[in-house]
Amino acid sequence: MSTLSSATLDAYGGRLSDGHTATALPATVRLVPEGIEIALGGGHTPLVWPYGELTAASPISSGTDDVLLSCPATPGATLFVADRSFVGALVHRASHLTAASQRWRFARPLLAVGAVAALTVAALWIADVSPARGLAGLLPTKLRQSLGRQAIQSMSRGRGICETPQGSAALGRLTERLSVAAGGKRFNIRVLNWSLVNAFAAPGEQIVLTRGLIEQANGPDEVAGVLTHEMGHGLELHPETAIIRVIGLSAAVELMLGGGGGVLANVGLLLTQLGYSRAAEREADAHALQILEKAQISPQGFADFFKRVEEGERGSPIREISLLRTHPLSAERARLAESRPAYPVTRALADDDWRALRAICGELARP
Amino acid sequence: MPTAIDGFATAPQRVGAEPLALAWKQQSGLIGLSIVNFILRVLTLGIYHFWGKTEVRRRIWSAVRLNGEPLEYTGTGKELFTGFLVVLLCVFLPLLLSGGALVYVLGPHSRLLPAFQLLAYIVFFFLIGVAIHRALRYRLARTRWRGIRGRLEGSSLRFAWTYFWTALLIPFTLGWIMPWRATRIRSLLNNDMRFGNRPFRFMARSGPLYGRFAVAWIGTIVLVVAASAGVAVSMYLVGVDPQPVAVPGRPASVGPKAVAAIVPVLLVFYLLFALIIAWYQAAVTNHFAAHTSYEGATFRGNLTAWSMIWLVISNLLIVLLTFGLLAPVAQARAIRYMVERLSIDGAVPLADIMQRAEDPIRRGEGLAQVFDVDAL
Repeated sequence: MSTLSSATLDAYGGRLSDGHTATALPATVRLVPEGIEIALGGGHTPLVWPYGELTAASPISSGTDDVLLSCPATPGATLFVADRSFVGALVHRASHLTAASQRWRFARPLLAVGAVAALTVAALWIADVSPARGLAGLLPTKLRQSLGRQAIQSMSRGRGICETPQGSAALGRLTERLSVAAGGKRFNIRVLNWSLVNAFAAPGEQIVLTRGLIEQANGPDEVAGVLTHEMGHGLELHPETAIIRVIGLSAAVELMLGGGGGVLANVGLLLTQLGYSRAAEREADAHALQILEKAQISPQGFADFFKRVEEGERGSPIREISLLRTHPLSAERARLAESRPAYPVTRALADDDWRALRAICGELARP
Repeated sequence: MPTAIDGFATAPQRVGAEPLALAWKQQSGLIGLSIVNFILRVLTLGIYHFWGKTEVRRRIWSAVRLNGEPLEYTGTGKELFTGFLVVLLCVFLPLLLSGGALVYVLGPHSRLLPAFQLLAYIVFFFLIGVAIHRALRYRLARTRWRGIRGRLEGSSLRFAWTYFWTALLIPFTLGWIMPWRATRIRSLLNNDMRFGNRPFRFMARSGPLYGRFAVAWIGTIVLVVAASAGVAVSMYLVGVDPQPVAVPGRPASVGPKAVAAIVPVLLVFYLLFALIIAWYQAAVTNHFAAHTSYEGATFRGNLTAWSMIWLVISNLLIVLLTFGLLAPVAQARAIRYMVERLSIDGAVPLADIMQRAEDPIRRGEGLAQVFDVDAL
């Protein structure tokens, strides 16, 4: 010990508590080469706490006014020194007590976790692998149907599902014809009494059409076009994938930004929910055209309806749908529909059935 | 008890009782810390949250001074993290998954589902009481002054049960159980609090609170009636039909004119409501402080309605306007408020306060973090 030289070193006043009673004793503290030397007076051997073993109650910097130290060399004891120059001198000898050093020690392994996760996401992105899509494929059918029913239930609250004997029979015939053409997967299609022009696929091969859409459609082929497009989403499990993605993303955002980030997180999630990606729309279109061909229904209605939807953005009555379909793909759709070799077609529904379907919500819309 | 530890011994000094002064020593750098924590949190996929929270607490605890010496927070980020993980994996997810499994097995229309939902709500609500108790227990166990630890004794389940059944009675008593309930809950907590080997004592009756409560209760009802009338009158004055006509295809909504008429009126009434609550709450806190003692010293509260309102509103703005980024600043301000508004009368024989065995609690505040509640 270099107590010989310590007498010439600066002495600081401190208070030492032994950790056994709630008292504090005045102590004289010096910064010796081995550590801090704490002298109590009264003939006690001074304590020496090595710099490397010190812990501080709160991180220190050269501007900190005071410091509360402890050291495993004297278990339970604490030393309080309210002297800015002491803290300034200590910072250089025990740099592990600074905020930056402590943070870095805790954050380093966690940053590695974050980096690995970021790399994994990037790799999945580059390899075009969607974990959400993979998970969606693992969900049992019963669970998907139950999810879909709940989604439809919450959407139809206060609106009601349209059913008439003739209308439902007509819709059933169209569903049957399209389901067979789609490879035999049973789709469940319902009409919602809602003036908004919209159609959406819910999990579990369930599709909802709105009254508004049927009213706006020019003939059954257009309805069939929309339906096959939504069936395409259903076959690709897009609704299931979207739900899993939203749950996963919101969990991740919640974790990263915490409660306070809720506002930002919700805005972000809303943006992701506004529509399917362009690629997903293309997949759905490809299915739609295949189903229409197998069912021997003209693809013209499909192309026409989406074209009118897009034109609607420029002032037609069916403007609202453009909010949900953010991607103007209609020119591409028209080209796709036209590029297919011609095949024999019949109307998607006979005139009687079409009239019945239009009246499925009770009131007959304009012809 | 004379203790000899490695190199020095403190003979029990009979210095007599020492008066205690509570003070706040402002710490700088809390805004910078908030920003650093946010960045590290995002970069570590949120996991750093628990370490960031710990550093904030260490700074805030250090700012609280008792006779010039700081409190020390000895909790760690790891304890908070494992506490959170264990509750998430062992309590929250099983509850959530069993709910999902039940929907799957019974079908979405089963009559058993509402029963299960009710049961889940009851369990969740009961767990809030457990969360409050355990969060306080962890914080006290990790708080030291002059090396002496705090501690919360008592059973979390017993506390949660009282917290639970008294809450159920709130609607049936039209709220009139609240002063009694607050006193009962505070009594359970404060009487189980220890510093070293000595207990805190809380002996308050709820009777004296009922005068203010009655005024606040009647005031609230008058306010609700007046607010409804105020909204109607202001809408009439700007000429808005109070019955909005639903346009087919659009959700029923009120126009900007109506909003401009309603919002200022509601704002005034919210402020008045907050004032009533603060006026009552300040008195409750002062009352509880006056009846809490530790070894012959008694607390004294100097909370006022206006100062409380200012604290709550300014903290709300700090948190909202920064999207929660500066929540640590708000947290420090709230604790500073309490420290500066509480004082301690009388003296405590500090040489008689002995360290007690450490509370075996190993993980921290898992329930409180998952359910997003705070210690009282």
